[in-house]
Amino acid sequence: MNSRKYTREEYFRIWLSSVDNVGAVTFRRLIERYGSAEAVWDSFGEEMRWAGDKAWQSMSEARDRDKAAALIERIGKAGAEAVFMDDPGYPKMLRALDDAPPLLYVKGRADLSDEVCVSIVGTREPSAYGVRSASSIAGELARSGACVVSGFAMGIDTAAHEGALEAGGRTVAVFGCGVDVVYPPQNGALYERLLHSGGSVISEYPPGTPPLGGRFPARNRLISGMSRGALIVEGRWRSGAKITAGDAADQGRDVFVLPGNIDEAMSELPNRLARDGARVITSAADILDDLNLFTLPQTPAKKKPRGNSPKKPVRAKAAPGQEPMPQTGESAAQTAAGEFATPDDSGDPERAAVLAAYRSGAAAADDIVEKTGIDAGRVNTVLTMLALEGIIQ
Amino acid sequence: MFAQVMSYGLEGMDGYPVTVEVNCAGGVPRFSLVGLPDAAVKEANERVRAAVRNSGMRYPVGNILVNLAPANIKKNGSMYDLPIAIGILIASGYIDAEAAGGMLFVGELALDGSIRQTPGALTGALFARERGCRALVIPEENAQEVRCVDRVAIIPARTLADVADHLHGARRIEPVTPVPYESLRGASPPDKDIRYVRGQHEAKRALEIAAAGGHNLLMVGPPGSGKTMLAECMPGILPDMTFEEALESTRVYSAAGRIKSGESMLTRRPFRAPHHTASAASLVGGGKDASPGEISFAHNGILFLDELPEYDTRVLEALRQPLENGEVSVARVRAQHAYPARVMLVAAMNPCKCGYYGTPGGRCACSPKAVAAYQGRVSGPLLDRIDLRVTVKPVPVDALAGHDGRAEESSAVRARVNAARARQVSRGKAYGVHSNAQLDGRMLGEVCRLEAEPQRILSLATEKFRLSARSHYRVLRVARTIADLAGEGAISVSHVSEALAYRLADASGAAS
Repeated sequence: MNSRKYTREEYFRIWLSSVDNVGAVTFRRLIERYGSAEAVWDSFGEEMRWAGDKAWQSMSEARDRDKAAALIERIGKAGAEAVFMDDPGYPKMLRALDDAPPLLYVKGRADLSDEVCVSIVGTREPSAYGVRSASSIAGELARSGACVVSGFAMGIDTAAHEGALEAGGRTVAVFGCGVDVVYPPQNGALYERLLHSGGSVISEYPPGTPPLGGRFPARNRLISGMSRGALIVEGRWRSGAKITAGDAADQGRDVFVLPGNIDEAMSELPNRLARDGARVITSAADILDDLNLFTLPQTPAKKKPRGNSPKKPVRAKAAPGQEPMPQTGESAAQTAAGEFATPDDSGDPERAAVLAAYRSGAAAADDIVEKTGIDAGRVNTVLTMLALEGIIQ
Repeated sequence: MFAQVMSYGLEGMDGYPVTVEVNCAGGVPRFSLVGLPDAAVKEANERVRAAVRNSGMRYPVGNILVNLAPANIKKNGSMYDLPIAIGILIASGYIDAEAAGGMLFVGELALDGSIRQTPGALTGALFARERGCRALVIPEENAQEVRCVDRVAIIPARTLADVADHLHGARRIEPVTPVPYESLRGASPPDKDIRYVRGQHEAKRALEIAAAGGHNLLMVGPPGSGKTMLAECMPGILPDMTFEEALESTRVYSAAGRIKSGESMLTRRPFRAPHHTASAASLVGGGKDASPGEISFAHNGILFLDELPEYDTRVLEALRQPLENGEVSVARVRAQHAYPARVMLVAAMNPCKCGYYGTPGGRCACSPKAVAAYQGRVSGPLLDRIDLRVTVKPVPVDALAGHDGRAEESSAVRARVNAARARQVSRGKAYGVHSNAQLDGRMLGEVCRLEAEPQRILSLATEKFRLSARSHYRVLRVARTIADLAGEGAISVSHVSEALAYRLADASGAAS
């Protein structure tokens, strides 16, 4: 699927960026000094030790035509494509970072120049509330035309990707391993689905790189770096999500948090971040509002905007042929109402009671039975129907 | 003189005829026993001699040869003591051969002449009835076990002298009066009543559905959440055992000698809970005599495996075939026997190694990888045989203290289960099945045909939750049972969606 041909210099850049211990900064300094990656290869010698002993050692080992050829071949085999910093498809927000990767490997859609990206990250052991919220907010963002960025881990990350896909929107998964290494393996189906729905899987590591713990924190800087803001859904105080939040703050991105129940261990991170000044949000509309995004290009397969006049001024910047759509304030709130208000169109009191109990925090069937006095069989019946209709998770 | 006495041998759960032939000849006093006896049979010599003498009868002097025919099958145990003694008494002219004609004898002799309990009395009684024997003489201690067997005279004997008197006609022993099976049933209430389980509404409902349809059930929850207690309440809500089922189950226990003195046949469905260190042989059967395993002792009842992932993987894999066929074939060097093994598997497991994965409060210290590894210990094919899965959450302490006025007694639940099971039995007659759990793909197509709306819901769920074809069938089976519990002929939307809940409720449970 990738027919891209690389230039001679690009081949050398792929090689240089793949060398261990040559990070984004070293890469940049080398290019600045010698003019090109090819020149780095050609003039490699003792003199180059200023780049650091470790980097020098790694470069001397990697400076091997066979190894470099194998690397290029692996990229082709993996169906991946390299997107360079100068390419128009390189994420806009990322380019400005000091430690922006010189190139990214991409599977799926190679154009990463999405106008607005918002990242959603959180724990791998979420509560039902966390999953539900991450998924519905991701869906709302995607419907508004934002690209949802996350880390493809179990739990909140997966919920965010799924929410965006469910809404027919765009999502990018940032891997801490090669783009052809599905990790965690349980997410195999999501991987396929994401690639077939116009999503992208990206990584700064060459295809075939195994998932090793050390690479994941570094990956987190890309998640926040390519986004306008990062939403932290649930997490412990010491966690990967906290690293992402820290990166986002360092990179000058907005940090959003979803408030959590104070009894839950997983609410610790968002609630403490909120105390430290992160923006508390309760819907996708809040995020878009804070980012001053009144209008986003519309994604297709979306219901018609309502004819009511928008409350907020519309800064129309829509793609040609697409109608601008007011996204904050009213219409997002309306869609949100569809998700969160009690739909008692069925007129079934049991259903309304179960839904009310569920909404008030009784996630388990037993709690709902205790609250409503409806028998367990009926409760399960109603819960399944609600899940099928997408009203609850 | 020569004498022939009839007895029987045990081959797995079945009996086969054994003829005890005794030849008394003059000459040097000597006793020989042939016909592949094991050590216990060989020692009959000593016991029989003492018992005959201590019963006040004369033990013949001379060359005594005993043959157990057919001579090419191994004979085990002490059950031939009585027939050998009777044979010797006939051969020595003490008892008339005519009197013992057409009678079967079985029993172990004590040195004082009293008759001790023997395994397989029920097998013998059924064997005697099938063969149209005139009477069966068994130890009195076994009388309770065979009380429900009619159309054959069963004579409970206390001592060798009593048997001799009976055969002489001096003092007749009254045969056991057959009692109807129904009169035995319901004598003893179940030990654990589901009424005393606090909360756990969803799990109780799942238990009821499982009991009604004979579905295998998996409970996932942290330690102390009450999984074991729930499982122990299962026997109390299971449908009543029919006479045929009781007979089948009792035969397994009888053949293995697991029925204690004076115990009657089983009237309640068995509940077997082998420990997780159990070997494959103890679970499915084996040992040198190919004896039945726990799964056969649980026939028509419940096999409860607590801490499912802790069982040896090979042991669990060995369960797959019997769970599928309802029968287990045990082959060993010395024997090969088929035992029935139609059980309801009730399994319980923690969601992870520390046990607290998915529990609010973040007590779980396991990494996601460790959680997946723990749950992965139970193989997919085994999980595929489990129709119902339910998450059991710990009940808050304050909920434990209060009185739960709404909780139902086991008997109330059992009444519904019985009614639902009766529907399944009458429907299943055409297919030769007794419960919904036994319905296979073809039968499901016929008895679980869905109307348009339920079908739409199921298709929607299949797509949305990405259910496999196997899951699809399980949902259908469970939905059928839920409809049976509700007393409805057609499966409705609410039945299907409730059934779906037990497929989907395993978010923190084992992967499907």
